[in-house]
Amino acid sequence: MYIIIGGAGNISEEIASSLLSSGDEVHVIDINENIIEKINSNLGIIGSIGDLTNIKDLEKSGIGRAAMFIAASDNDEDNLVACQLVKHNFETSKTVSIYKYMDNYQVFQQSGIDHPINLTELTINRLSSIINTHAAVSLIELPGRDKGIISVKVPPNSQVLGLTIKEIPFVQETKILMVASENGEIHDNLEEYKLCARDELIIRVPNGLESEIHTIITTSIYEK
Amino acid sequence: MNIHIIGIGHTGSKISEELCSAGHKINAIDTDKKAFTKLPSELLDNKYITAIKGNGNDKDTISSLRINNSEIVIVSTGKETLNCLIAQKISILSNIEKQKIIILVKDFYIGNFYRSLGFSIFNKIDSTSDPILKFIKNRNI
Repeated sequence: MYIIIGGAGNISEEIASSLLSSGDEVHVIDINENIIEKINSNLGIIGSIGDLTNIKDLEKSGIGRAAMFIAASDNDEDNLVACQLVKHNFETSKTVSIYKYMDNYQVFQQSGIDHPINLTELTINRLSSIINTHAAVSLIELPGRDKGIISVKVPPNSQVLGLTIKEIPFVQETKILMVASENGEIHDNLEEYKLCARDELIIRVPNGLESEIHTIITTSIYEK
Repeated sequence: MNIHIIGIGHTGSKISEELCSAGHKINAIDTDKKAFTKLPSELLDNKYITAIKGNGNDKDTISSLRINNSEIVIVSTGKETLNCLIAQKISILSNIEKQKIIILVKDFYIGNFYRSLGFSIFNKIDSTSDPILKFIKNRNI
C-alpha cells in the first residue's frame, strides 16, 4: 500500500526502511532539504521537500491515493495538525500520529486521529513489563471494536494456578487467545490446559476492564 | 472583560496593549520573562496587564489560569501548529466554549479546519490582504 510519512524526525528513516522492506510504497516529505537528501541517498528516491502541515505539499506527494499517513516529525504540534488536516480533507487516508509528551495525551486521544502513538507511553509499558513482570501490557487496540489485546503473566502464588481457562471468573466478553509457558512452549489447545506459574496469557479484553482482569490473575491465593 | 493572551511576541504584545487600552483586563502568558519587556511598564505596574511566566502549552499552567466561560483566550505564539494544539488543550481542560478561544493562524486550510471545529480563527494573511483589496477596489486601481 502507498504510505506517506510526514516529517523526517528521529525515527522516520527507520519507519520508512521497515515499511519498504515489507513491500509497501513509501514517500517521505520534510521541509529540511539535507534530511531529504540523506534519506534519498540511503533508501532510494522516496523523499521530497514539503511541509507536512501544508495541504498543497501533501497533495503533491499523492495523499489522495495514500492508504495511510504517518506524522512522524519531532514536533507534537506539527504531527497533530498534519493528521487532523489529512483526516478532514482526505477521508480515505488512515492517520497515525507519533508524539512525545504525555501532557498532550488527552488532546491526541480526542483529536479524531485514527492511531495516536505516544512514545513515552510505549517506553513506560515496555519498562513496566521488564520491572514488574506481572503487569498487564497492552499489545493491540482493536479499532472500532471497544476491545484490546493485553498480555499478563501469572504470578507463582496466583489464585488461578491449576485452574482451566473456563474456571477463571472472567466477564463474558473476555477471552484467552493464547498461553505461553515459561519454557517458551505455546499452548493453543486451551480446553484442557491448566494454568501454571509464570505462564504468559494473551487475552482479548473489553476496553476499561484491563485492570479488573489483571487483578483476577495476579491476586494471590492467600488474599482470596 | 478578562482576556488571556498566550504568547507575547510582536503580535501578542501589540494585542495586549490595544485590548488593555480598550478597557479589558489582560493576563499575558509567556515562557520567557523577557517577552514582557515589550509591554508598557505603566500598564504592568497598575495591574491592568498581569504578566504570568509559564508554558501556555502545559496542563498545569492552563489549569492554574482557571479560565471560565465569561472570558476570552487568544493563542498567539509564533507557531501556528502550536496555537492549534494549545487551543485544543484549553478546550479540554477549561470550562470555556471553543468559540471564545481565538487561534492566530497563517494558513488558509488550517484556519478553515479549526473554524469547522468551532474555534474562532484570526488569519494574519487575510487580515492584511482584505484591507489591501478594499483599498484597491475603492480607488479603482
